[in-house]
Amino acid sequence: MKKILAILCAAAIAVTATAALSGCGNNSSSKADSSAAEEKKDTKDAKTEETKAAEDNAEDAGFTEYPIFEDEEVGFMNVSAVFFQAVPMTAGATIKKQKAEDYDIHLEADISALENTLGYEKGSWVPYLTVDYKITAGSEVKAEGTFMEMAASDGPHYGANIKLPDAGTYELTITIHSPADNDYLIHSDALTGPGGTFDDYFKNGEPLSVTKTWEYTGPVTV
Amino acid sequence: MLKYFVQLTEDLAMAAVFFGMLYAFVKFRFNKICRVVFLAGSALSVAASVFVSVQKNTNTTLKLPYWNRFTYHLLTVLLIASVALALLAVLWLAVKKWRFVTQYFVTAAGLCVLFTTAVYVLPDVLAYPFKFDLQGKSVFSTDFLYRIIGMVLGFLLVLLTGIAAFKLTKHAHHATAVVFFDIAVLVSGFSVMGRYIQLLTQLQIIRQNRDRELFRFLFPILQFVNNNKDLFIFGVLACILAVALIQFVRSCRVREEYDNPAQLRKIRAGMRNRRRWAIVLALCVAMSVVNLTAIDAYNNKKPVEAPVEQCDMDSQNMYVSFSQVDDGHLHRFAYTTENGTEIRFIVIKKPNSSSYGVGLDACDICGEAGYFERSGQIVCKRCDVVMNVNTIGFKGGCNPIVIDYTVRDGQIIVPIEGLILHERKFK
Repeated sequence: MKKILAILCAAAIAVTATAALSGCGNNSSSKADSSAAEEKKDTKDAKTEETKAAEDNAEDAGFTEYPIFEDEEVGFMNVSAVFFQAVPMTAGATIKKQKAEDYDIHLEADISALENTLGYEKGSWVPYLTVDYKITAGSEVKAEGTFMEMAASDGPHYGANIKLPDAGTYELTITIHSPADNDYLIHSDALTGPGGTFDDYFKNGEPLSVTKTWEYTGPVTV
Repeated sequence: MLKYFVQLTEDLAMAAVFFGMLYAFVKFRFNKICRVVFLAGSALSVAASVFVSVQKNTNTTLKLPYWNRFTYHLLTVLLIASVALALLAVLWLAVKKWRFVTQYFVTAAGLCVLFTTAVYVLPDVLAYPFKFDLQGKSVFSTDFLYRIIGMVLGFLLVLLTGIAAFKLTKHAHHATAVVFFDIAVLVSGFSVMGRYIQLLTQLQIIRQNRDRELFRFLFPILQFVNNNKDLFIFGVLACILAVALIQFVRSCRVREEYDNPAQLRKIRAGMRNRRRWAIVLALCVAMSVVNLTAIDAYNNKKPVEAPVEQCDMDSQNMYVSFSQVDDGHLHRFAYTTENGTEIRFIVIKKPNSSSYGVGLDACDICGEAGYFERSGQIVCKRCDVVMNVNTIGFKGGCNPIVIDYTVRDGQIIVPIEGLILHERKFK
């Protein structure tokens, strides 16, 4: 009797452990997959092709971007903000390198051009911007700084690794300065110029900004 | 070093207490079959953790979404098993005539919790040495050695805590042991629940917009658990500390009957032993608390910035004498424009050289964030990049923005006109 009970217990442990591990296969028909697929279908039409393409690229690359807000029209730009796990970055052996281990998340602004008179191709990434971020909880500033320009497997973007250990409801403000501040020029002759200037969008050189409330669920760890 | 000392304590303290208490149950209150199964399961848990760690860090075909799902399934089992274990332990205590059967179920549930906890926690801990960011330094560097020492110290602390938990639970009354064990399991289970909810949102099983009501209900739980991680560790440590206190008090006076002085000496030796383990545990708990609070705060304290120093100046130039900056440390100076903007620049004497690195306290990439000195290295405040001191004064990357200056008569002469050109950087 004792031996039978012991064997039954051992079998129960083995079955539970196997279930835990086997449930993780790529072909898992878990609720996670089905609900994610269902939701993807629901929101498909609401997103622009650029945002969707960026998400697809990220998923193909094997990481998941968590949206903060999507497809906000700011001047001539389409702005989306996402976050995911902190990542190491480099620009070569001797120039610049940032480690991931001291940060909680990688915050990223995807900024692409809408229809414009500045010569940017619609849907393309807008370079030469200075993009500031500020995360606040009430009057308390939790993190702020200027994004760096970089590229991931899903393309170029503005981003930074930041420390934000506490989950909570925050306001994220992204402020975009004119490319003119970084001495980016636009042809101004009738023959080759696109027809507009940065003054059309950045009145008196003032930056543009977007602020959104964000329910942050905490650092992304695996 | 301190970072990993804190990290190891944070990662393993709860698991060590849990394992120590559970093993004391199985070894001294359950039969031999349970003991053998438990030890075999423990070995399997460690082996599985090593396997998962290797897979996580070497198998490039298995990517983040896969491991998120893996953790999701793991935590599902862990949560269910934790509740089952707490209930079964009470059943074992309450119904004596069923103990023969319930001991198997407690062992099975305990092993499930142990297995899932080990596979959840250990793979990342095992991978730490392979993920140290040494900024290009070799594994034979002191940086690597310090981090390993930090890990070893952390591991020794939790190991000693686990052994003390085992020794004290061994001698505790059944009721005392079960009650505090159950509380510890439920406290750690609640902390796992926070991570579980986080995973549900990250895997988009729960969507913030679609499942608004459910998310609003769960978000405060997630927020509380995520923002008070150490509280749960302290809760579990408090449980075993309570067992230790009870043991200590009970071991102060001889209560058992004895027939001769030899028996009395033996009883007293046992009591002394229990008191010592209670003290060891109290010290371990105190060290863990200090580790997770004071040491963690010290390790994360913000760097002290070099103050803005005064130097000679006239209407055209600022004059920094060599004697003011020849100590090899970072020095910061500033010129305030008519608009009230403070334009900062830095000066540092280059190592093994008579030349000086001069540039703005700002770079093209991170703007006016500036630099600070950490362990003799110059680091960008915003992106934490360590600068090569020898390249300060050259254009490019995260280097300080280059400014005009000349060296004459033992002075670095910085034209004010050149500084004003960069006023916009400091607005």
